[in-house]
Amino acid sequence: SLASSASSRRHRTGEKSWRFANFFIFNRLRLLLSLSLPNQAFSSFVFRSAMEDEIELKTAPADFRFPTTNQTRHCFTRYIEFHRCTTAKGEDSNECERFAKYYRALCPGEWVDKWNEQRETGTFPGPL
Amino acid sequence: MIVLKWLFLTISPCDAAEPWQLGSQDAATPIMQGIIDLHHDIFFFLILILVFVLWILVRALWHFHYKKNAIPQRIVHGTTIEILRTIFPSIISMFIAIPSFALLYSMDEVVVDPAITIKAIGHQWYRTYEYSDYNSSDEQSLTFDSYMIPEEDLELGQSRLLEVDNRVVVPAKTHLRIIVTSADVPHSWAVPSSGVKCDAVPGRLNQISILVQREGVYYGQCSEICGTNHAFTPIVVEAVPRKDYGSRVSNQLIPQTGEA
Repeated sequence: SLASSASSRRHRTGEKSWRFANFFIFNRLRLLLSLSLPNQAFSSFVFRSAMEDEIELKTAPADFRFPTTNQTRHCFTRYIEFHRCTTAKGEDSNECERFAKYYRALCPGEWVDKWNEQRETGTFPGPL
Repeated sequence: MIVLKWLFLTISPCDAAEPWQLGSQDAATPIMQGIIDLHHDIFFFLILILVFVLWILVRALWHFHYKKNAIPQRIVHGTTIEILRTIFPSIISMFIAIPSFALLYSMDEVVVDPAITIKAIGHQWYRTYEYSDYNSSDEQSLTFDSYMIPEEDLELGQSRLLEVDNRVVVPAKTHLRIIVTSADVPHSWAVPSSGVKCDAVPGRLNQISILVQREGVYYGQCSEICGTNHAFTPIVVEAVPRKDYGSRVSNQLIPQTGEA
């Protein structure tokens, strides 16, 4: 009787144990369907604020090069990409603005200020 | 009917620590709901094992009492029971491990690009929040400090040691990325209703992805010893409807977009 009740329990728990995975997969599919913007690099939602400015909710996308919790290198890499882009394409290039938004979204302001100072004094420790 | 419903069926979710609270706070994110469900799954097996072990223990103490049964029976081998008592715990461990690992890996999975990035920077002994998605220059568009409201300044109905002057305003039902770091010593950004506890390590950016599913105000406290006022640096997250998010955030501080 212990064995049979264990097997019936196993069946119920077996269903429950895949509910987590199914829950997230289901939500992922649901959200992908609701985001009718397949070609954009970032998810964006547009609405109007009380000030009649259109505020689009978008930010740096999840980068597959940095899949883990530690995003320090992500922020650093975006900063370097922006500055490499400006040296390659000129200071006011629009394409580089994308990288600028990414690093500003990810990096704390103090880090950015410190790196800007280091760049000015020539002591920036990165492959610019 | 609606009046009756409002009078008697208003649900007030538990999003802050309650006195003598035993269970979890109410879930506001899928992660927390997953954690609560996992807890219920494991608790079931825990009660089974507890009852079984207590039963065996009490039975052994009862039947082998030195006055009633002076000669204890010596059993040295028993192949069947040895096999059973090895197999059954392994099966129970598997039932506990399967939902546990499913939750663990799905918590880390970022399946949808976040819509907003908020940086939570820990200081001694307050928090700074940066919303930098909209700057056009390196000047921060929205940065504010969040200090605990001291006990003498609390209004009636506010929680002691939990209220702050500036709350983190986030849109509900939106994927957020929260980057947690520290400017001095390690802190930890924890909001139990959202199932979030993330260490704020100086020099490191830790990312957490959450989706707050309902509007409300969620409280948490610093969870890594950081000095004298470690107990006095709480976190308050306020989830507002997405259409109100823009006006709330722009009213919080005068944005400095575009200024040099």
